[in-house]
Amino acid sequence: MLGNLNLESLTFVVADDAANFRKIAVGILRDFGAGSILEAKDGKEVLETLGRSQVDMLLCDTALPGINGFALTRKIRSEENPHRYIPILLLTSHTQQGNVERARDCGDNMVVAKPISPRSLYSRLQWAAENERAFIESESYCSPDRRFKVEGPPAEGGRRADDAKDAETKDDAKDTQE
Amino acid sequence: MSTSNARRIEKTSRFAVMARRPGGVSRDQALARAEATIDKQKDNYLEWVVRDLNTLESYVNAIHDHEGARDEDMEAAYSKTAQIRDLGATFGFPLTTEVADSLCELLHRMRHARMYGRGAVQTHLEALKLVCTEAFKGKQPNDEKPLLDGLGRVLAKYPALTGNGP
Repeated sequence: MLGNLNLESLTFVVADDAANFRKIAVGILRDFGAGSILEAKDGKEVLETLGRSQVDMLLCDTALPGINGFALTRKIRSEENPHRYIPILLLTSHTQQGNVERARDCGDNMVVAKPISPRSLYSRLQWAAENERAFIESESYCSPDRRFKVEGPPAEGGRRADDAKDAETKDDAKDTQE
Repeated sequence: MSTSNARRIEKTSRFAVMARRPGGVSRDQALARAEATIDKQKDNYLEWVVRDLNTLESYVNAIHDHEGARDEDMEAAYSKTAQIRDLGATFGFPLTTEVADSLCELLHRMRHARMYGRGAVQTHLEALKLVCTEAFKGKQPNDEKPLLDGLGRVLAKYPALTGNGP
């Protein structure tokens, strides 16, 4: 059973070109108790933010203008920098298996399906907090280790095998309406 | 992926260390607060989406004016439709998400197949405007199956792309 999260001293970056989406995601994180939440509307702003702030988690849309979420993750993972190993959650409406695999190849920790709900986001944060993975690194690759065994699934969502399933997204969407 | 010099590095992120500390907002409280925030924003949602629909309509008109020939028109319409799709279900409008998703797929297929159909785009836009109204709040896709089936038939006239979406 996954527990509570203490996000008080943590800094998040929410990167999405849609201001309304950022507003909702920021609001949810604030309600979760996040200490600081920074916003970025494109890949360039993400890199600038990472350059001047200590960031603990990046939530990043795949379809960012300029540098998209995949390329951005690859860039962060490929260069020596203070944020090379931070958890990166990729936000996308396209949860086909190929996209999930692409996200992992780029070095993302997890895919979060849009539209998001508080429950789906919380479960992903729990998962990231309680199931850290080592990194596999070579000259051309740096990504959380895929050879990862789960000691019992999380109470709701968050399992890698579920990332590509539309069903969970729809369940989560229903949750917001009840 | 080069594996010749691959190495495994154990890293404990600051996020994991700090998030696992005792204290903070309890899970139940965090979820309740977030749901309450979304509920409060629900009144604003229809205002937002009407603004987005007006912008989308101007992009769709540009598509019509150029008979789908300009990629920038398609991209602008796709991007705005995706923004509408990505918030619908969060605010209790799952049909908005479904219809917007169908329009996204249509624009994606049209662009890549270089096929333009004024009626197909306009039908989707009108359907989207319809479901972005108070009367459709909370309605599930199964509640409006004929509408979605109809859009699906329109969409099926354009070849599906293999791959991972835009």
